[in-house]
Amino acid sequence: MKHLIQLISAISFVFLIDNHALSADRFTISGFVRIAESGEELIGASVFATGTKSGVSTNSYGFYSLSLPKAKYLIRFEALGYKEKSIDVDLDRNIRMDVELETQPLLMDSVVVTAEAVDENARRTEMGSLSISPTQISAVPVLFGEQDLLKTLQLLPGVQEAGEGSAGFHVRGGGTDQNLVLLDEAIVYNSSHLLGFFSVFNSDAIKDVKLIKGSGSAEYGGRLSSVLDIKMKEGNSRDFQGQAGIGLIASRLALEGPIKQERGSYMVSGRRTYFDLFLKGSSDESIRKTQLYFYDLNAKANYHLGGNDRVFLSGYFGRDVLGYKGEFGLDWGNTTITARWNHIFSSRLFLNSSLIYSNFNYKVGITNGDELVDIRSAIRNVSLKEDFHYFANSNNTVKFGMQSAYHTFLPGEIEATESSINEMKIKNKYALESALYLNHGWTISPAFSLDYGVRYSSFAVLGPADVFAFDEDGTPTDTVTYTGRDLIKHYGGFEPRVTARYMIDDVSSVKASYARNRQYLHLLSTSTTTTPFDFWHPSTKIVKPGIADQVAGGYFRNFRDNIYETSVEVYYKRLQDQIDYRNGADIYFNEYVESQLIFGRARAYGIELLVRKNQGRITGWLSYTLSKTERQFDAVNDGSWYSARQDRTHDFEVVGMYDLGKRWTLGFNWIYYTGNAVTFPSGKYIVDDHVINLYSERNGYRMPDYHRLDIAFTWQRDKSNWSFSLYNAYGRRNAYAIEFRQSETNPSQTEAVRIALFAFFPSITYTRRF
Amino acid sequence: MRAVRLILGFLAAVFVGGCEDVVQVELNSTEPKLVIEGYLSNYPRDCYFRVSRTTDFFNPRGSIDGVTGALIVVSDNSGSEDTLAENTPGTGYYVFPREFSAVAGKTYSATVVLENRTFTANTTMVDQVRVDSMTFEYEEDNRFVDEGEEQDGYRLHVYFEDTPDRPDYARIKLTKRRPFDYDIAYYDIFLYDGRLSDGNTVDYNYFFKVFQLGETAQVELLVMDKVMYDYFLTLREVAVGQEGNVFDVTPANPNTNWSGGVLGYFGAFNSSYAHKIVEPK
Repeated sequence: MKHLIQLISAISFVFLIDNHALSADRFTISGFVRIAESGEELIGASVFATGTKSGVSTNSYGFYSLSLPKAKYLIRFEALGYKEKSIDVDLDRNIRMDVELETQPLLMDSVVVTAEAVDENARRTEMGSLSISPTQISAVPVLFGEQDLLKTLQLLPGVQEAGEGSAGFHVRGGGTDQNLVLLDEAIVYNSSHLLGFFSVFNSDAIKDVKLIKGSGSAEYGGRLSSVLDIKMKEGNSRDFQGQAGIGLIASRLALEGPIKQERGSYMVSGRRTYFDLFLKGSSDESIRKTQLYFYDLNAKANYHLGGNDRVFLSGYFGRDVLGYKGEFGLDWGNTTITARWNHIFSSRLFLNSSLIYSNFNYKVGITNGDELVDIRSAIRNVSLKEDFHYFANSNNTVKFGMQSAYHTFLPGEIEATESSINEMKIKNKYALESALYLNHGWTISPAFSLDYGVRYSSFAVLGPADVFAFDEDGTPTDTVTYTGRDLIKHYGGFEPRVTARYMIDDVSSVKASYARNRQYLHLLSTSTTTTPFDFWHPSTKIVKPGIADQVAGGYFRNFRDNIYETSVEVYYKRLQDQIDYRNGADIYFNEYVESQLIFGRARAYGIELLVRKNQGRITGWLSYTLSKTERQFDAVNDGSWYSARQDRTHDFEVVGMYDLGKRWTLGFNWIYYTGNAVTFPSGKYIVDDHVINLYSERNGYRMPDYHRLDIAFTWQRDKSNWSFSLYNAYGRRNAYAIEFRQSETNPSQTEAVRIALFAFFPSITYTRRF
Repeated sequence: MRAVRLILGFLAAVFVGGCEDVVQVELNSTEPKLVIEGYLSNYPRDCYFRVSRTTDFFNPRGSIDGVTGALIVVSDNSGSEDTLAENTPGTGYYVFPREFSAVAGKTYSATVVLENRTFTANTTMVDQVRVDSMTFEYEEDNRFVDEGEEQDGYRLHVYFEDTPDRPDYARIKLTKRRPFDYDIAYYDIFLYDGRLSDGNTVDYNYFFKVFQLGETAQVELLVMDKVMYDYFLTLREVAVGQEGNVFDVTPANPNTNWSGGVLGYFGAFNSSYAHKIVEPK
């Protein structure tokens, strides 16, 4: 409670600044920056008063607010990929001004576009953050020809895929469950389709993606390693438009248009794979009855209730369905719904309120004669967020607010009829996760700026529940039953964040940051890839919340009139209360699952280099990461530090898009990285007449180095484009796994077998706009 | 859980069919470690101990030698004590000096002295569970049968009663007897965990194996305690050619019940046999 009071008084202090500022003879210009063609808001566009060094960026809703002393100004609006606009303003009162920027025709579609000011790389205070937009990646070659934002993000420094073709990713050595994946503010619990070969994010529906590598502003929290903030398109508020695409494995349709001219718009976007439609044509009954597909549906609508109020409703519904001959069926998917209300209290105070629902569940059905077994598991949350954005003056912006999420976990339930399997249900688990935050962006001088804040997070484990105690071997020794909504355990703490930037000159800067994050939910999985059976488990009396502390520093410099952006960042991250599993752990449908876990710590450090070219005939980037990630668990490798599976010494990517002229674009990427740390046998022996592998240490070996070239040619006309891509163009057999088995030719011998995926994988995609 | 493993195996087969080839991998050499297998059964002829050593991974199987000179003593909680002797010196196989059979309800202790080191372990013989019946179900186009099996044929169902109010842990060995041909003793380590089926009639069916008319299925149902079950469960994860799939977690040595830092196990298994021939309806 004491913390709460401190925070409230801190927030009150902000309002005092406000009053103080008002007393000076200052006025505010505020409004939205939009794209002229579609009316879509621009995130991160820069707004500044020419000649004064005073400027701001639009927030995630495209809103800006700039307070200046009474005078005449030339206000300039800029965003990369859009024609800049300068407007004369006589600031003798508070002014509301919405501005539209036209897309630069030369840069449309084929070339890199970020809605950022051209020199943001060096100038913004934020560090360790990456952003891409769907248009930016349209020429990057991808597996199966399906544009995938997560796959493209993995080509940036400090971000690595969890396995070949996987949508799961590690950020700066963190686990795949340590990324806060938000789609219009709603948590997406499982962002993979079909074992991770596709992400659930359909590019047609996405407006903006931002990844923050662990030093985010205090408004974000709940995961240790990164925030992936994805925003859906609002829809064109001027004209109806659509886009349809057909590819190797999926077809897509997106429609958008005004609900009422200039007042509101909608967007609906769907994607479905169609392997199974081909299967239907098979003469073989068992193939005909096999189901295998997934779909995604994104929908969003917004409406202006007046100049100061706007409401949004958005949702995502996706599902994977898998079935074999009616004998077994499996389906899983996410649902998210976000209802938002933007309110402008004054030219300086902006409020976003959101009510959010997220759900992930899976269901397995097994039929065996009369025997029917249904297995279910789910997680869901309902949360409320209040985010204030206060533009005190051109040198001070303050964000503050609260979030509260009520989590319900359904760990597992088995329903059975005529079956040898008993019905069972592991009791639901409940928790309330809340946070208060305050963040101050402060431009102290033109050269020096500071973005600092604090978040207080709290996690209450609630009843009803059975709380178990275990001995050292994991045998349950005691059970305490809570029947009501009792508070079983409470965790909480401050999460300070600070980032400082110092401009060395107009084109270069140094930045440093520190951030602490706490994570109260843990993903349990005994698989190396993402599967629908991975499940989230709350912190409990036994499972403590994870804590990460990260310090980072960087040098940022732009060259040649901001055509080239470069950066070098170093980081060191310390993670406490990390989770691993006992040998032979049984985590599925086990009410004693906590007894199967072991706890330890981790550390990660590295250096990341990025060179990015955003304009011209050739665009793209070079990315290199040198890093080390280690873990330490008392029960593993005699308690010494060992390489984490995702430890990757070198990670190099080059991504390029070359405008060949005559509407053709060549896209390519080349990837090279050190093989993951892996456990291989160091010997063998015989037990029970079986040859048994002997292991001497965890992750003591390395997978072979990985490299791959992908190319894509895109042919673009006004309304349509064709994309031809080749994944793994020189057919390198990269090891997905190495298995050790008995030789087929000589059973007395054992041998290592490499399993490789996707050599020379071609695909073709056609997209048409209307 | 078995269902989860099966489904992951299925997904792996569908998506990660991929291409496979033999590659050279440099593996470290390790100091040979002792392996002690101690197997007690209700069938006297099945009881044995084997002492051997580990070898480098790419050495041929034949290079795994038995270890001579171990002093092995097995005692039970009723005061009986036997000292085992090596059957044929050099093989590493040790046998009881008398007709020995393990009895349900008794706890056995083993002490092995070798090279000035002493290793000990305990195990409990649990009650027998017998197979009630076996049936065959005809099925076509089973695409997921193991390599070498035909897609059309009979799937074997084995029924037994799980003991109420006690989790049963068992292993079911399967042998296919073929007329005028050699028997196939399936290598797979089939395990049963009664945690979810307590007190029920269990239908254990072999989805991946296919029988033809005239063939006989022989099963041996071996019931064991939880410690042994955990051993075989973790053994299976790292046994060459067993149930694992490419998504499996970090492998580790099985959870042995020997103290003193050796590999292997000491277990008592209550076994029973059943068989059934595939006949035309």
